Amino acid sequence: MKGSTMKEGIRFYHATARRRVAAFLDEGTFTEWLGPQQRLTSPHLPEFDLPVSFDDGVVIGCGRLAGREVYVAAQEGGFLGGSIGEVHGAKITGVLRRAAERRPAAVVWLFDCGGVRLQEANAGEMAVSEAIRALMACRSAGVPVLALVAGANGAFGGAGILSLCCDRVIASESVRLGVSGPEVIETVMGAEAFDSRDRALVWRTVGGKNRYLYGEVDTLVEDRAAHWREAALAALKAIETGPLRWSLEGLRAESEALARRVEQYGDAGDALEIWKRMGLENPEAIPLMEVPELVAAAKAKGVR
Amino acid sequence: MISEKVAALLERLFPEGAHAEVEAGVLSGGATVGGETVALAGVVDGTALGVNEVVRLSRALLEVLERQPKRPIVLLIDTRGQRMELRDELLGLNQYLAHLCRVLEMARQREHRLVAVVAGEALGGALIATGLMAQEVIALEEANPMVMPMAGIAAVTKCCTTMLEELSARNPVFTPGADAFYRMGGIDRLRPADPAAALAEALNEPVRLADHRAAQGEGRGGRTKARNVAERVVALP
Repeated sequence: MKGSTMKEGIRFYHATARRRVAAFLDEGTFTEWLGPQQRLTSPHLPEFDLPVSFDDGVVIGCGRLAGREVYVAAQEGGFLGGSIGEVHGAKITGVLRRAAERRPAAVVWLFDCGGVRLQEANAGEMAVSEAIRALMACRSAGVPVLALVAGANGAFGGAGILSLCCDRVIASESVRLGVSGPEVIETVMGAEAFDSRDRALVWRTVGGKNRYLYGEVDTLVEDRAAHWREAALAALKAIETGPLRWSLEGLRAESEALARRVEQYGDAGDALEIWKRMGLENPEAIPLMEVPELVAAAKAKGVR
Repeated sequence: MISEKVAALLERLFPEGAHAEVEAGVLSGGATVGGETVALAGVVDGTALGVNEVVRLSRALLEVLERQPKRPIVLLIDTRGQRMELRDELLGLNQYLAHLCRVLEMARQREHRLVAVVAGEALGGALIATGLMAQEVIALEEANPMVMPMAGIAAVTKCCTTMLEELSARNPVFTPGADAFYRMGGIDRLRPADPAAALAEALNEPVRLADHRAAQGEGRGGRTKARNVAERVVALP
């Protein structure tokens, strides 16, 4: 009993991929596929004199969530920022294709990824595209895919796109989601374009709370294993009982919602101004709010 | 307003005639290929793909999906990449690009043959959300796909640009450009001598939903593990 209580309190932000998976799934139900003993390593990293990892930075397999069979992919942020290389991406694509054929209750992808692994840039870019297609094929086969953005690398670059291709996005307030990282924008476009050392600016621009307030993140959770599980189960239930999102009508509605966001906030310039326009009182206080408080405020104002 | 560059491209690709309009870098229109009407959409003139461009492109594509069932779509791509600005990141560009992926996937699922023509720059996330969603990619002479400019790669990998340039000279996994992407399996037809004929041929292929690119990359020696690893996961007991 004590063991399971401890497990429920685990924070995912700095946890390893294996620890996240173990804490997320029902106790002792995880079976890893193509694990480290298979030594599937990157064929490209040795060119850079970089060490390889026997799982290429991603843990895949199956297990149970509240008794239901789910497939999982969990990225290891400690290995090259969880980045997607050829083998890493192929393992995830394999999981998604297998799911489309065998129909588990869901695929759960625990993101901790800065994007394409630049040391194998072209192969990584292809891997992202192949994962996107496999993901959509999986959804079309009726198997939901959940994005749990839990790790310190968040979901950036290709992973930022991939996470938003999923049926539902669950994130904690401390993670970041986007395409071009502030450091990359600063390097390519200059510090006046995006000052990556301004942590508060970075956070309120690409952080979980801002993404939640737009509706880009469906559920904002407090970073504890029990909350991640609960949110994933609620998301599955909502998908199973809710309207089909993956339809032409759904895409049209999404397109118009995205157009409205540009119209309403395109000239705002800063998240603080956007939050103000959303009608949230005292936007300056949002960065300090606890998750339940923020969720309540957003619901009270009809933002969500 | 159509630039000379776009006008020349249309002339080269569509000898049977094409009409298009370009609004702030986003192209929409139609053409005739082999006597058949095809829809045109794309991002041209090196325009960056930001939230405004995605909205415009998405609307143009959805218009085709709603009104012209099964009409083939040709995507024209010449973009310097996803827009690298605080404003676009602030508004959630990742969601906009994911939306574009979904729209193009929906087009293929609804039996629109979808062929991409890379006719210039094609960087990073912008390529992922456009050309790489097509059933076939044709790279013209001027195509220059890449993941990220060298300065950005150097900043992220903390390698110096001299070392990176030296590496990129001998390893296609890392080299910018169409040849390298061809080796990876991401380009189907590389610098065809007759682009219009190549496009007509590509448009004659049936709708293809299965992803052939990892096998293609393996056959060309660019990616030795991708196909094998994914298939091993699928084939596990």
